[in-house]
Amino acid sequence: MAIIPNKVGAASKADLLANAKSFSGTQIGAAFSVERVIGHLVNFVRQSFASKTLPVSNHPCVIAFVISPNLEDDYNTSTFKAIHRGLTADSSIKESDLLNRVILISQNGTAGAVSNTTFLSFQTQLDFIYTEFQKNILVIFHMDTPRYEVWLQGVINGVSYKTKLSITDGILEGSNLIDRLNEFDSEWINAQMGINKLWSHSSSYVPCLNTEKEIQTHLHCWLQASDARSVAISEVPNSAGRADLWIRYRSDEAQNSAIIELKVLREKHHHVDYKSAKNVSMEANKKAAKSAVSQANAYRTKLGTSRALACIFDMRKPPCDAQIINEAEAIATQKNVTLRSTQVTNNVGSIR
Amino acid sequence: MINQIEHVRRVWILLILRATRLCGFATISAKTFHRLALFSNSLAPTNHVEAETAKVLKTDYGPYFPDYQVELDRLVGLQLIDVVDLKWQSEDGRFISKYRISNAGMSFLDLAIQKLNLIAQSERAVSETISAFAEYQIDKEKETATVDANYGIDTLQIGELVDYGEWIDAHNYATEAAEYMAGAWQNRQSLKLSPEDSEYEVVTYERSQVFQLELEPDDLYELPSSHLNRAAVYLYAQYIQSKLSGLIRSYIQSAPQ
Repeated sequence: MAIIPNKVGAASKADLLANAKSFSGTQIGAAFSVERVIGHLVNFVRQSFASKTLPVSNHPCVIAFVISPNLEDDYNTSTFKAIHRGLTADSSIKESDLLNRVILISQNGTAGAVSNTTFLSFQTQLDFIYTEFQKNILVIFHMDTPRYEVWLQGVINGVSYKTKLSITDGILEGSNLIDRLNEFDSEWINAQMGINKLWSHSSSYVPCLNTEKEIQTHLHCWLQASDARSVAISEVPNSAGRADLWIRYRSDEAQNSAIIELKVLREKHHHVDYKSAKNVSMEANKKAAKSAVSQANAYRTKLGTSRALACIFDMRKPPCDAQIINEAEAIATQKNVTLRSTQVTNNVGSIR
Repeated sequence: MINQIEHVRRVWILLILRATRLCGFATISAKTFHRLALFSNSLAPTNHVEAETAKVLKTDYGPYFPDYQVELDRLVGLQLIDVVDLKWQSEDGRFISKYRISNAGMSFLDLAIQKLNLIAQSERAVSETISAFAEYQIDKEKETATVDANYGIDTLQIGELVDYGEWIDAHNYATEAAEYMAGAWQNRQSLKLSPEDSEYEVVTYERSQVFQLELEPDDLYELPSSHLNRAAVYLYAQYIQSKLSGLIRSYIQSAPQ
């Protein structure tokens, strides 16, 4: 199970993963979701390095965050010292306080404790984590490359998963935004996490309740974590309705923003009993695809953004009829809306 | 036999204590609990959830929910909440203690959140609020609760009930203030009023205070990933910390409709 990049290596990583606990992020928009805590951690690392951009160290180094659902019990004063205002009112953590250490952090990312020891190798760091916090989720920041990566590891419903979230220096515009969206497709939608969250009964193509909202929440957190200088806001009210996602950058200029409208095409409606789930008509799916484009266009006008994206997540049983997407594409071209279509897989086997 | 309202109340109490545990400080005093109960209830409409209880007793030691205290102690009996540091306080003639949700309480609630959509909705609202206020040391700040837009109303004396939604004509200033601030944030406006605008002349001293609270763009971008309602709660928590949310209330009251 190659969860951690090979270059750092770790003999005990499989053990660590085998014992990782499921993170309770089952609710839509949970205050304690993995994605949201990552956003917090990214800001925390940036602030500690006194940097608004990415901290790039001169030598390979690792910061390992262990997310604790019970910080008060896990926090041991002989091994850790408290950090952050939630515990000590101390928010003056510096770079040297973090590098090659293990940081214990609360499930909302605001309170924590840093290990007194620095670890000479990633191996010893992992061994320490395994001994102390074998049941918790681990977030690892690698900072030996210009583009640093966060690796999450854990188990959902008994199945191991991994998520890689890349954080770049580029703000969320142009091709960078598209790259982040593509990454979301491959690392969340069509990965263990997405499959687990989006399907009620995957083999029958029955989606979970409120699929669009579930995708919106996680994409929102994903984009927010990707770049701290951009702000992602969801459900933005305007006179044309409520925009799903609004990405704004550190600038007063209206052209530095984008609107994203999400729509899901389904094979079946959600039903508690998957055998009773009714099929979704082609007309309903066609209407959804077209409305994604027209709404994105309308919200762009109302909110004064320069860019409009319509993201369609296709949860229909493959091979899917391309007509719906083609028709939406024609309207998108006409209205200058970027249309993205993602085929959502329903099983892990198909992504291997 | 307990009635349905008490069931809901118990779940709400457990949600507050679950959230504090996930925020990193599991054990909280009764005083802190009642303050968090106030904020979680008064800001619940911001997250499109009805407040569990929309009235609170004003006491000399801060906001107090008598019904919550009764249920809190019953939940201890059910072993869903643990009592820590139980002490007798002779001057008040009462026991004081700290509370934390037990592992059994956590398991029960996690299951309930997964199975029941209504509880999941309340969890979101309560968790967002507690998570926002957890960044501040609300238990150490004596005035934290008294500057709440509802609780801090000057005309209400100690021993009186503060009603922020129980009766039809009751006003929830906390939610209004939070949503007002979020609106300003969304539109990248500062919260200061236009000095040229004569319509706002009614706000005098308060206005000059509000002037000082212009939000810097950098502050705004430090907000955690934001649903607009989440931003509202976070902004309100910031203002509580600045002890100025009452002034926002004054502004809302004075501004032309």
